[in-house]
Amino acid sequence: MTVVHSAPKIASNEGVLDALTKALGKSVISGEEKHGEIILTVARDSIVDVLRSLRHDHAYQQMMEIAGVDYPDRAERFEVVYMLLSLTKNHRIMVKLSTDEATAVPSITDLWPNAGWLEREVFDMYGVKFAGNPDLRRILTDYGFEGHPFRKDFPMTGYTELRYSEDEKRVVYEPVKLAQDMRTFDFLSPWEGAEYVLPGDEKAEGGDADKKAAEKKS
Amino acid sequence: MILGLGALASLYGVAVANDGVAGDDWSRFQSPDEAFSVKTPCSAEETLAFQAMTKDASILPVPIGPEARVMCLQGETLMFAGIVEVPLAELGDTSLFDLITEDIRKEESQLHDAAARTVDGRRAFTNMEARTDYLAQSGFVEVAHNKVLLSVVGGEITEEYPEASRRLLVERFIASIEFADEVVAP
Repeated sequence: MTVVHSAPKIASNEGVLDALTKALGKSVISGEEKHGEIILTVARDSIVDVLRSLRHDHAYQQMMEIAGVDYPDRAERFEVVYMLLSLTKNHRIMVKLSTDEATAVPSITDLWPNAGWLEREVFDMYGVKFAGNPDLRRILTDYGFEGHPFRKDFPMTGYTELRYSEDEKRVVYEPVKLAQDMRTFDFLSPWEGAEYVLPGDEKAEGGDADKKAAEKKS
Repeated sequence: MILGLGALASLYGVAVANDGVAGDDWSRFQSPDEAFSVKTPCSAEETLAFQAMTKDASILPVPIGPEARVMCLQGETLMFAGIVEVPLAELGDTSLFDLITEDIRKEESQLHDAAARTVDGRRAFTNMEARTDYLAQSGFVEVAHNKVLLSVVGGEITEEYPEASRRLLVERFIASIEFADEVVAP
């Protein structure tokens, strides 16, 4: 393939972690370079100042994504991860903080309007609250949905299921009724080494015998 | 939950006088905090006067400050819309909208002609009470997890303003509610 230009796909991380850790001072709890990415863990209450500084002083202009992570064993079980992109530096960093179910995280909607929907998504999926988001409603789940489906303790089946009711001529919600137990998959292909006989496999030998008989006749 | 028109009017100390609601000259007014706007038949002066009248509209356990409401009282017709907010930290996983509407649904004595709908793309719940002498509707629109817009609208049923015209008025008011665009960063 012809190389059109020699610019790297993404700028080097060299020196970035040290520079940012020094610039952001006590707001940074820890910083690391992992899997080729710069990750800063910051104090929850200083997130707005940190992101403002990264945007205005360090040219990370775009808020690409806000994600949540659930660690049920931790005292502050949720992490909120902000992913930033610098268009001018061609560089990305991740900033994260931790919180719990009761403690709200300061909203950054005043810095990036698109954070409004991203924070709504984290709120909907994990129940993390964002103080100052003027429109903090669920965004992906249905009206009246209960719980936060990306939490590790949320059941895989959910709590309700819906179906179309011929009687009521509308979609109705009902508590989940499992028609069968949850199946445990062994992830083994039945054609490559499974040690059990699948229903119907017993006919395979007969099938071979018929084939051989047909070959002898011909 | 139907909030009495008389009670709300007396809260603001406003006498019920002439009715001038039937015309098409409704104007859109924005709440002082710019969170929402709604159409009413009141003039700008009247609307400002109502906002200055009482600091807190304590029609719910939580106050609705003048910056978060629009009110119009003309003749026998009252129109009120204001945003109720509770601190985010005091609220669990259930939104304020769900808490309020579930409470209303449980109270059969408070439940009249209730309906779930949307207003400006947000889920809403309306509860209309029609009696022989007056018709009133209270409405709740979800603004955020911890914020609900409360609307109270209605008026006495008279020969000049029969029930059908009151229903049109109620619908016109709540359907005109619009919320501000999302925050725009500087």
